[in-house]
Amino acid sequence: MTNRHETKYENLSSHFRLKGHDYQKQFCHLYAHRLAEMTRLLTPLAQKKWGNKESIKKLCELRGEQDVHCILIGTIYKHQAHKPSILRDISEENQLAPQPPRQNYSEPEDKIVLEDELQRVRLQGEVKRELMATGVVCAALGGTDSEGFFNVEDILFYESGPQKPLATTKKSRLLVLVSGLDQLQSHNFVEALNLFQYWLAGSLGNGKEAGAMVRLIVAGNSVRASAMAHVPTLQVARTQANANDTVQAVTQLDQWFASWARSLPVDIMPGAYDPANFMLPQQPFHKCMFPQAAQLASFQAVTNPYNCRLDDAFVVGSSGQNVSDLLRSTSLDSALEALRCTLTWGHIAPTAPDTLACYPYIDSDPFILRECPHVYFAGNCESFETALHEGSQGKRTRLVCVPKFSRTQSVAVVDLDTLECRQVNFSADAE
Amino acid sequence: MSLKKALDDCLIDFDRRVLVTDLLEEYKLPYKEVNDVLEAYIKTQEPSTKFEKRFLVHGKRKTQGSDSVEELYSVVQESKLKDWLAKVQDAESQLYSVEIAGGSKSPAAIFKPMQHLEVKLAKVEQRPGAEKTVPISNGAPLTNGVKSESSKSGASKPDSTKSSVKVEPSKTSLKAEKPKAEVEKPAASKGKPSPESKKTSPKENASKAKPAAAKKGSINSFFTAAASKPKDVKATPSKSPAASTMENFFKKQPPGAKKSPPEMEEKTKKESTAPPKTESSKKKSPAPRTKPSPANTSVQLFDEESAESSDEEEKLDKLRRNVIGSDNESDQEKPSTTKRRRISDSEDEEQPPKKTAEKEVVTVDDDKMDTETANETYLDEDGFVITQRKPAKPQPVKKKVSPKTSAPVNKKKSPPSAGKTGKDGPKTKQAGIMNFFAKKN
Repeated sequence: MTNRHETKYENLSSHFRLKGHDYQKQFCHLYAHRLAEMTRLLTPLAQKKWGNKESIKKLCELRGEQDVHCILIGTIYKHQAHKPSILRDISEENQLAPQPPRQNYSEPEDKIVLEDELQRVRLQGEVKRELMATGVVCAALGGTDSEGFFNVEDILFYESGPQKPLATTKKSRLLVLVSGLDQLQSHNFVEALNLFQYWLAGSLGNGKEAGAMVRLIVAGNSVRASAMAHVPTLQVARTQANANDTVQAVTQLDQWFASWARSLPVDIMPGAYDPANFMLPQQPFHKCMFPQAAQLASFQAVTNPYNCRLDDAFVVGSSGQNVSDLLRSTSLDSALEALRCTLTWGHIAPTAPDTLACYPYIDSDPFILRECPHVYFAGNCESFETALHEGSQGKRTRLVCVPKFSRTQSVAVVDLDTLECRQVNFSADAE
Repeated sequence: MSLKKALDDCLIDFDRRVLVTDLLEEYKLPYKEVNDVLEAYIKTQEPSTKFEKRFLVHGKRKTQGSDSVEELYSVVQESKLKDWLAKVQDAESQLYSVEIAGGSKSPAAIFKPMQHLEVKLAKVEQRPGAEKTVPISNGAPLTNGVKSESSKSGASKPDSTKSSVKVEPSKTSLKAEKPKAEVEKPAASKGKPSPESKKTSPKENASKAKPAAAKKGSINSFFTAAASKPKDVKATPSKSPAASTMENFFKKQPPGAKKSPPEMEEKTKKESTAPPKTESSKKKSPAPRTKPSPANTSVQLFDEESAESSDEEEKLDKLRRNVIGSDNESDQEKPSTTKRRRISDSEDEEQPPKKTAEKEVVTVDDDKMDTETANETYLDEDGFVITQRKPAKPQPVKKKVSPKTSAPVNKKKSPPSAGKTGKDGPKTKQAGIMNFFAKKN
């Protein structure tokens, strides 16, 4: 029996922990703080990129003048005709025709508007409107025209800030990412799950590789991976049965996590369909849910999104709600591109709180990426995708779309030394 | 006992599918060794008996639509092994499961948390605070089953992890079938207490209450399971002479609600005859494989039954999950029950959660319906719900009704629930208006 490599670990998710639960506040505070914080971060970058000749102005300073060449910093608002609207939902009560739900409501006719603290201006020019999303903060270089548009010549995003250099140790350290364990449907992929756990433990003849696995992150939807069918019913027995299933699934997960956590450190994040709070940031599962596993120091329930540092590698990830929401509101064609965009924009979940539920923060925006991660992942994607994103100033970030295990029976393995990433698939041939 | 000896003594039942991973757990051997021993055994047996084998193929292959290479662990049947080895790079294969071809029982899905670790954490630390609660959990000294439970879950200090690994063989015994049956139970049987919990604390009433609570499977049971420790701490004094306090009564009530206290005692007595075997084996477990044959035979006898039942449970469980997963079922059920539910819901808001109880309520409501329809509410010709608030006698109602209305017909048509809900819901407007005019007249 060999021992597993050890790494220095630091949980950097404290800012995702909610200290209060005041849901009475408006979301404008969140946008205001996002703009203020990002303006502070973007200003030196804009000056560095475009020089001091171009002045950074507020919209109110333009006063409707034409041909003013300047830099504007503001929040993107994407006007979309088919965006989900609560007002439209309410219209159902007035017996108007309900709008059909859309998987994607991005259209070429969408209008891009830049808003600062006081005013807004419509953008045109070098703006990829299909790829933009509401909530993104950017600096735009351009000029006003007679029609009241701002003609964008160049656009600058924060790109997630500076990145600490990754010290290379010569020993391999592997981070295992898995998501969508979907315990309620696990009877469909029992053998894959069985193989996976023995692979973690190094029992499948992979002892050397297993020794290098330093951590397992379970990125959401461990209990359930799809929405529960909400059939309007008064039948108490049905809700009771659903509750029973969930409780049983959690109990089984507890046993497995307890078993796995003896082999390596396990972090479990809540997901969109897990029995956890709905709004981002999702809070860690309570330890009472995993009484066996919670006894081990190597097991911990963490927030979604989740930040941690393993030795020098800064790891940031979510359970995938940010990416899936972005895919609905833009024309981005893959989860990987959506993930890349959030990294470029410097914000984990720009569409929150617009179309993605989020706690109404009044004094901060915890989703801003102030430090560029080395590993950036999103869970519960349809398939495994990965790319090494190379940003400005030599920043390198491994992007990983972690596939749903319940669907693909696959996990992602990232080498924290080289940032290489690969997929490991466990499958059983159908009989 | 070594795997080879177990095979030679025919202690492993290949009628059902035997997984190599189960043998790993059983005999604490590396995969390769189990594979070699098993292959050698099968070769000796093969001419006379035909085995159905599945192999674990490990290799690399290109992912579809991209150039990236994915690592693959795939379980394939023997017939397809060659194809797989051909299409996978750096392919290597090992046995994964074996069963006699056309075995008597259909293979059941198997999955359980692993106990045998080839690679493990150098130091498995227990979370501060967790350590203290465990020994008290059943309000009993450390020497009872609780300790082994905690060590089994791997919750103890580094030393205990060793013991936790060792605990397993005695629990599962030497026969390969046993783990299957045991594993399937927790996975399959809904609401059944896990076999582990059965074994750990058979003597204790309090500990028995735990699985029973889990049996109910309610949210409450979840929390009781999670927070069992503090409760049990409280429960300990209840075993002392002052056991018949109200507090104690309420604690014992939920798990054993159906049983009277004497029955509970009887049951514990009955069980205390059977479980000591398992418990004793568990206690002795750290000395590995010292009790070979007697335990085995008993397990074999027991296993026949439990295996079948677990299979059935597994199937039922699968079926049930599939049914729950599909949306259709709820739609089908809906029309048959909604009406009654609505009635009961409107009549009585404080329904007990049980289905049986709900039915009772509904029947009571039906009775009410019969009595109340005659005098309370009806629809007039324009479809308005008219509610007469005089509950005492139907005669005045008839008097007040306008001569046009054919009251008896309308009365029969009008559902009492509509009238009742009309009092609270939006329909009250109509009823209220009509009442207003009726009073004016």
